[in-house]
Amino acid sequence: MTGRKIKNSVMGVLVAASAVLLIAVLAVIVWHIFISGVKYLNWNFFTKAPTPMGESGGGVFNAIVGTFLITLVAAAIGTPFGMFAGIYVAEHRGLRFADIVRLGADALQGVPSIVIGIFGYTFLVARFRSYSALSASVALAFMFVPTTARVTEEVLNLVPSGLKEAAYALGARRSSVVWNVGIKTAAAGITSGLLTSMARIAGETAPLLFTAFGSRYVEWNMLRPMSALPLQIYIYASSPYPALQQQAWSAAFVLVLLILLLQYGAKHLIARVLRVKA
Amino acid sequence: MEEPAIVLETQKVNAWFGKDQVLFDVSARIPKKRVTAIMGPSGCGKTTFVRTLNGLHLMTTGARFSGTVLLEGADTSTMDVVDVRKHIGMVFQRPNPFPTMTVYENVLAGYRLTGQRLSRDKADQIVEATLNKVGLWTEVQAKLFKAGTSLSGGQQQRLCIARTIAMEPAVVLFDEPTSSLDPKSTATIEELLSDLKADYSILFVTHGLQQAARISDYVAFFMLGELVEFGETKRVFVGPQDKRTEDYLSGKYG
Repeated sequence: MTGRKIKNSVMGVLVAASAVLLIAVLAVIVWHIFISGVKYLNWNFFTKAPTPMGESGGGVFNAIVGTFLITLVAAAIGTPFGMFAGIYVAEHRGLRFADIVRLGADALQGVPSIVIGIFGYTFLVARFRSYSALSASVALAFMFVPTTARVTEEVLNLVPSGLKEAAYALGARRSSVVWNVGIKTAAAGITSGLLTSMARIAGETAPLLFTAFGSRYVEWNMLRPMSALPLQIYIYASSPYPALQQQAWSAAFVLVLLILLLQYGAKHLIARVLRVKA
Repeated sequence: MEEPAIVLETQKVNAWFGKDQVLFDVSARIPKKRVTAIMGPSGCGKTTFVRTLNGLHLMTTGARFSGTVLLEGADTSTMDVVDVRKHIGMVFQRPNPFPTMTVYENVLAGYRLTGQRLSRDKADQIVEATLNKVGLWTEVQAKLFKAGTSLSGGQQQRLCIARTIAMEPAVVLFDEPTSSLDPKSTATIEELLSDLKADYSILFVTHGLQQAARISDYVAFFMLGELVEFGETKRVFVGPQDKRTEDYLSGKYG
């Protein structure tokens, strides 16, 4: 065999092995969480709040409610800002300030979540003298905005310029073109970007430690401390009680399932976009 | 043949992309309710010329423009560009119906995009009349509420023509509208032009000599950004006055 052929097959093996490794890592994690988590799963786990210390049974309904509320409110706060910033950058390509905004979004994405958490603690929790779900949502919104802005920009840039020109040629004004042609054509892509961003913040733990704090009760008031799945996992997994450690696995299973569902939903939407384009 | 009125007039139009000048002192008088072909070799400024007429040229970053464009005698630089575009419609090289809209919505896209509300009856009436004008009504009657992009390429292009004339412009610019179509669809659109010129003044960019000869009443020959010759198509094809036109017609470049 020539050197070129050897190089070729070595590369082929490395590439294939890496692909298999990626699947294997996912499989091990999902399998382990499934095996450890599914044992304790029952109806009470989804519908009941934790029982008082020492009593058996109980569930993580408080954390499920918390994850949904905190994530949805964070997305509600972050979506307009992220989308508008993305529209701005997409519509002002070549402008220096647009480049700065894009750079800022990338930098904000790179800020470690623990730093976002401390920030939320200092400016919200300490100022209002109370841990609250709302401060958690605001902190998570800081993580939600940059990803949403970048996705919005990228999807808008995929809209064929011929469509925008056609709209302008019909006498449309810029705001109308951005909304009726840009956003509507890119709607599925933007939606899937929002879902991916939501999946990302739903699994965040560090910012919640400083802001939502956690609660053993089913809490619907955003101004009070609230639990969330990652928080509950953190607290239960580091507790000395085997029953709670088991519940941590089950909660992990539920969280992973939730995130995979969100991401699958996003993929599905992306696929639909591509089919429209084809 | 009596002299037709003038619908559009350009006076010393120059256009640039960055430092490159692509049009040089183009002065032309476009006759009303006739088909005027804009022909010339690739890169001669044909497309840029029609895009200066409806202000699309200036939407390209770095593009500049000087000169005057008169629409029915009125200086377009003093008009709102949105009004200019309502009077000067445009059909593009590639069919580009809006993918998020149905056939029906595509015909009315101009109204919707400019925020004009129509009663249901009026909307139905415009859609049927306009699709009839472009010969699509019988073909797409059953598909009115399917996506505009579900039609064939030639049908999509006629849908784009319908979308443009639904706004009742005075002038319709066609930028090589048949270059991505098969011969049969091309023939359909060419036949359509002779009907459309009863109501609209048409500028038709083409790099095909035969096409220019087939469809146009007047022809403007561009080369290297200059308007070399303008006149009645028969006259220009039979007896070109400029050496460059003669060379082009005899196939020396193109």
